Amino acid sequence: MSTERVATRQRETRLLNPWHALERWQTDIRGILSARVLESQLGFRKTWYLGALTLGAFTIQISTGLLLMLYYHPSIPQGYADMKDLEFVISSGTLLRSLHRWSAHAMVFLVFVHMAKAFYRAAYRPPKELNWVLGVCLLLLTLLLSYTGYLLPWDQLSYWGTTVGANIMSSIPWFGPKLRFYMLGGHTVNANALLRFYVLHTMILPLSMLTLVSVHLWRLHKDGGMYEVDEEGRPLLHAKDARASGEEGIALGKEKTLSYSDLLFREVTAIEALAVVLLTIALIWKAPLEQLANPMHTPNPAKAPWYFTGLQELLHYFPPFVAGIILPGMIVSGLIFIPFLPIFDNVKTYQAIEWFRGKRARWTTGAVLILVMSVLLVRQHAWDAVAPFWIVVLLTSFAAGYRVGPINGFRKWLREKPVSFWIMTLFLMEAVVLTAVGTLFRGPGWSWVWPWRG
Amino acid sequence: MSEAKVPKPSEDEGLMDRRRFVKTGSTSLAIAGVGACVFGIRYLSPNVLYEPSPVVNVGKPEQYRAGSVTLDTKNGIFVVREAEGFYALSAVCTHLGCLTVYKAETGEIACPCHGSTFRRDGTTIGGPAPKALPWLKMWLGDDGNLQVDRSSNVAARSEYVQA
Repeated sequence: MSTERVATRQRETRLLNPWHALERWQTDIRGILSARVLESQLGFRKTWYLGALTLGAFTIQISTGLLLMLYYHPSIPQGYADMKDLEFVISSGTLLRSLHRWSAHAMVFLVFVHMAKAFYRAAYRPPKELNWVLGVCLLLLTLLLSYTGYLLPWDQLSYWGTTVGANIMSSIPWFGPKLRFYMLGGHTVNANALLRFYVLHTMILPLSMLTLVSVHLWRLHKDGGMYEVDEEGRPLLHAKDARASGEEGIALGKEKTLSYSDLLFREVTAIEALAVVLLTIALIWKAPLEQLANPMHTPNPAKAPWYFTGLQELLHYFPPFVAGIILPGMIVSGLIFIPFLPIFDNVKTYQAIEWFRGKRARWTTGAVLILVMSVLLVRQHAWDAVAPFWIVVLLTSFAAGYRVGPINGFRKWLREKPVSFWIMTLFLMEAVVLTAVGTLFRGPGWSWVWPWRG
Repeated sequence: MSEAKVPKPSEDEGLMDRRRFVKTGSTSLAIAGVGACVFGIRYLSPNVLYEPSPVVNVGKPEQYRAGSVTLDTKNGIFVVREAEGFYALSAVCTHLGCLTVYKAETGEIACPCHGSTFRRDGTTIGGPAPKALPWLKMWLGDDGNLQVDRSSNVAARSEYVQA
């Protein structure tokens, strides 16, 4: 930069009114959201405002978490005593802890629904691939945050939940036990483990989360906002609209409205509604706290929080390495890769694959499904894990049976779905069924119980 | 201005051009980062642990009835007295580390977490547990108390302690 230009810049800076600087800054910040958004995309039915709600839950987590940190010492047994202090001594302590707990549950739930909704809208297709992968990473971070936060109260459930999790880690062949030792900083869940989990829960994971959420939001804007397709299955994006010229461009411009006045208002209202609901729940139901962690007594049944009971149900049927490492690994890599593999979803042409037409595809799918079901049923007696397979088999045969009845309405809709749709539907049904069975129908010794019988 | 007219600084003055500088710089930073991780990973593994000793005293042999299975709740082990003598079993489930309990009414050892069951010699009956509960090294100390080393396993039914 020449001396002359430096001098001019300095003069400008000196003359600058601080309010003008703030104004300029504010204009830059507004670039985070698209300036204008299609009016047809504003409605609740389009997105259910799930992204905004998840962000809202995360904001509640950050603010309540910071406040809880003021009273929490990550040591044994002081950490547990601090929970008691929060409950009995500190003003609004119970409320904050309960809010933190229920908001965490809400966040896990919202992230799952947000992901499912984005998937069924095909929002993983170009140009939104990166944002989809980021979303999967954010789901993992959310679950890790829940898992690490679970140990901190140092009550019975924390202790045994973490013990089981750490032992799943050590079931990895060869380097599993080593990995467990590094994770816990010792051979047992102890003071070192508590401190490590505390650092992960309050520093490393939230900072990673903030970074990835920022990129997620930035990409949402850069990739053209909400993903929708027109009648021919082509994405209807702002990026494309911006390029549209002439009459088409003017027509699209007329359908748009200002993001900052309309979209932001709706999203903030949604977040406020969520906050009210969570606050009400926190006022009515206290976050549970069991007895002080006792390494010499396992509670019976030792149940994980609901978002991990599906995994716990799998652990009942399969060896830890399969249920805790292989299956979750397959699910995560499936979530990341299935959208990009053309055999599952034809990304290039934006058309769903009509795979029901191929006789070979039908037979292969049928054979794979029946093989998996037989193994599950005969070898593991895992009848609850088999149920979703049966539903998928019934639905696909209903859609494919071209000789029975007319093909219209629901059936036509089903037939147009790509393989990736069926895989995702199967995964979501498995998640719901296993979670429901694990949460409601399992009692002492992980035996079957009816929830209405006490 | 065509490119031929601009001499590259590296050719001209023996200086590094910008692209090479960035490439060399980022490569050396990456190597330094990987190196720091490789040598720094040891930091995560503590060299001294303040954990309880693996060798524990489980008391006088007389306090155990013949044919009994007793859970030592302080140390997480079963002390079993059979006709052949005493032996100690780890009470930590081989599945995922929950603490098992002995059910006197069925004569089985059961895990509360995922429903594994074991016989009183540690072998599995049912449930997801992959291995039998290990037998632990046990001996009679000079003071007449039974001692158990929780960190060393012995083959099942190989050693009984006579008292």
